[in-house]
Amino acid sequence: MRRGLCLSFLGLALLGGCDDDDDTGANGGADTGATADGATGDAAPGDAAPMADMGPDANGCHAVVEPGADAVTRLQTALIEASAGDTVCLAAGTFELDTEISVAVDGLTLRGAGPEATILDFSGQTVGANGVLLTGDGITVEDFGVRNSAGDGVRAAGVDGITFRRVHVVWTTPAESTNGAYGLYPVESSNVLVEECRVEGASDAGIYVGQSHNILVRNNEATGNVAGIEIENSTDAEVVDNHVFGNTGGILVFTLPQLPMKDGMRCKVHQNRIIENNLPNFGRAGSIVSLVPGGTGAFILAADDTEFTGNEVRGNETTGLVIISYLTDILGAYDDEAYDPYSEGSWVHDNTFSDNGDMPQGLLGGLGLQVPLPDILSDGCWAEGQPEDAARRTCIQEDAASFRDIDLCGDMTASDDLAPYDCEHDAQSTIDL
Amino acid sequence: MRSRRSICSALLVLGLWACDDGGDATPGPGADAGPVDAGAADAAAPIVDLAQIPYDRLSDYGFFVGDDLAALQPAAGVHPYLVTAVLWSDDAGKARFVYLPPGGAIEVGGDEDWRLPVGSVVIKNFWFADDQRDREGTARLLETRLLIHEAEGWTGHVYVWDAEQADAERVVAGRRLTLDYLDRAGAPQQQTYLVPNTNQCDQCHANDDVTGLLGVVTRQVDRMIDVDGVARPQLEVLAERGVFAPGADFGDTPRLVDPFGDAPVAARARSYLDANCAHCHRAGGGGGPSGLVLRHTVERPVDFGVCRAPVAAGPGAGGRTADIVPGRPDESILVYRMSSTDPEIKMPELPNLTVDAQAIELVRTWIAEMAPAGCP
Repeated sequence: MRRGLCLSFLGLALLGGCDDDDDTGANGGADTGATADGATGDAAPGDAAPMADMGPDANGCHAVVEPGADAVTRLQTALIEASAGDTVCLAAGTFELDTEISVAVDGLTLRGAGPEATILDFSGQTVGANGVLLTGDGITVEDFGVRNSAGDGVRAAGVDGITFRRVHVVWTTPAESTNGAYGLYPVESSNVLVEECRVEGASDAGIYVGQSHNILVRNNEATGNVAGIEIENSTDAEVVDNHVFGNTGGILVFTLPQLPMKDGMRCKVHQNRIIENNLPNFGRAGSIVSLVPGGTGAFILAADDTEFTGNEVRGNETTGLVIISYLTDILGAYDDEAYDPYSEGSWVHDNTFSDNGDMPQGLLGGLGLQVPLPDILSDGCWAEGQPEDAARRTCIQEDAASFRDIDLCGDMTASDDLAPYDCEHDAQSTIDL
Repeated sequence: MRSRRSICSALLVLGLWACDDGGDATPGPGADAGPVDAGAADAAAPIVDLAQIPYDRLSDYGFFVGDDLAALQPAAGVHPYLVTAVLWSDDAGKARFVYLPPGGAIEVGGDEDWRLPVGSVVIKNFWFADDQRDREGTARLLETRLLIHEAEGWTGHVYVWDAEQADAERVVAGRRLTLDYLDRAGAPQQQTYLVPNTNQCDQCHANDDVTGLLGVVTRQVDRMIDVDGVARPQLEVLAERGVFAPGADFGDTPRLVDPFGDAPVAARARSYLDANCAHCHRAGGGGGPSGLVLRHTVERPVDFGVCRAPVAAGPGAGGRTADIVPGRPDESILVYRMSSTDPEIKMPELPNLTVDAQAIELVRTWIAEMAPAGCP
């Protein structure tokens, strides 16, 4: 009866008007053998009972979970008992969750009532390294917010097909090193779509795609993170139409040593707004991103065949774009014979750079370089044979941007001559998902 | 209410060696009753109907016979076993059994190549001693986890014991239990214990999306056991019970050693890490993306953490620059993460709420003895 009433409310307007918080779920006593707390799924007196053998409701929901008492049990039960391809809906309101929520059913859609209407609040989380952990293939998470997860916001681990859409992950304590590391975190996955999301406050990267393949990150907003968007040791990625502002570093394309997936390549970064990423680095020492200088618009590190074009890069106080190799003196030693530390085959062209480099921070502030730093900065380090190989050269074609090659692997004879970089590569493909 | 019983002692009385008490020495000798052989309880064979499982209650399976389910007296086809290196589970003790359907036997082709017939069930009972000074004394059964071999593969189910210790009921979404006990100093303590949700079975048991067994591998099961006061090879005893199909090849992968026994410290530490970490920290596991591989057979030091820089550890690195810094346990991420209960930092990620102090000491000692000290 009560559930029917809730569904009626939801059916009307997704107003979230149905609290149903008189559920006698009695999660007060964590213990014990009492069977009345609904934890068995089939006996749940509350809202999340699966609609066995019924199709979805008018909103396409196979199950609807309301906030309120015992939310962990009701939500987790609905997610486990769902069938492949089902949609589990979250009503509007705040879900107080003290443990990681996991989704393992293939093809499941977890849908809230809106990224600011349905909030998964992990402020009291004591268990689990993520807010939400996704391990099924083909999952979609959309239209909800995640707050203050102990670790990462939403991680997708080893999946084929994952869509994050209108998910807002926020740590409400700004620039706090104890915030979780990653907001949206697909790793070792393929066919990754992140769109219309927002991440704020991550102590490592807001949107972090690691060791993955076939990736589209578009129309997102990242602010107040150490790294706004990071594509790491991944292949065939498109980062487009994102607004990345107020982070330590805006967009990072990294290839790092000693990881199972060796080659990061073919990332197309275009039509993004990369604005005033001047937040002092608040990452915890020990992580690579803790070395990213505040004030860095974009950062290509040891990645190959990156295309960077059509971006607006403005007001980043250290520099607009750094192209750099993995230099052990700066980044630390590694033991990985298969690793290629050089950035090769980058093509930077037709961007709009302005007001970058006025007040360099961190490593680049300490090298004694002439200030202001340029819009585009290259370390001038080349792999053997790279400058002679048309396919591996670093190409930069910008009419108005300032440039400096700081010759870090030579005697640090800086040069602003772009002539050696005047070349082009084939455009990287866009990603269709 | 039924009174609390000693889980281990009851089994030992029947000459069953299923019980470990959380890492201490092998259980002592049992009393006079001889071993229960595979045919002794044929009047009450388990029922595992793959079209009907999971059942609502543990008793529905019939794995344990007698009026007192909590005595864990195995029915026909239910075989006790012990592992060498125990997974830390907040200091809970465990009693392990494997059920093989009638006529079924395990085909073994190597260390991790144990092929159990469809219909088999691996049964792990978790219990907690009422008084930590007497871990073989009375205890409370907390939960029983089952891995059932269905036609499509293994699936995990979790049963939580009721307060009366009469039966255990299936729980899907996990639960928090409150443990009241006397600690090693005899002081009353209260501790939260986590029962996992059934998705979380795969966080340890799945590799590349395939759910598998962790303890039922040669390197864990090939050990000595105590049967009625006589030390015997467990594989031999299980073979006598008809557990293995003819031609079993157990492989030559080095066996684990008791992490708290008398083997050299490096072997003990590597065995502990294999049992407690390597289900994730190996290719295809949840910790695979880190590249840190904690299988005890890994030979290249950087691969098992020596002077290995963290990549995506985030705050888990705690400002430290390598998983293991030889000679310097305090600078080693491994020790830092084993010593934390912060959900973002702690390792393993699940399921413990308390640290394994004995293991931390072991790993610290191992790292402290590594030479030369420091990393390049």
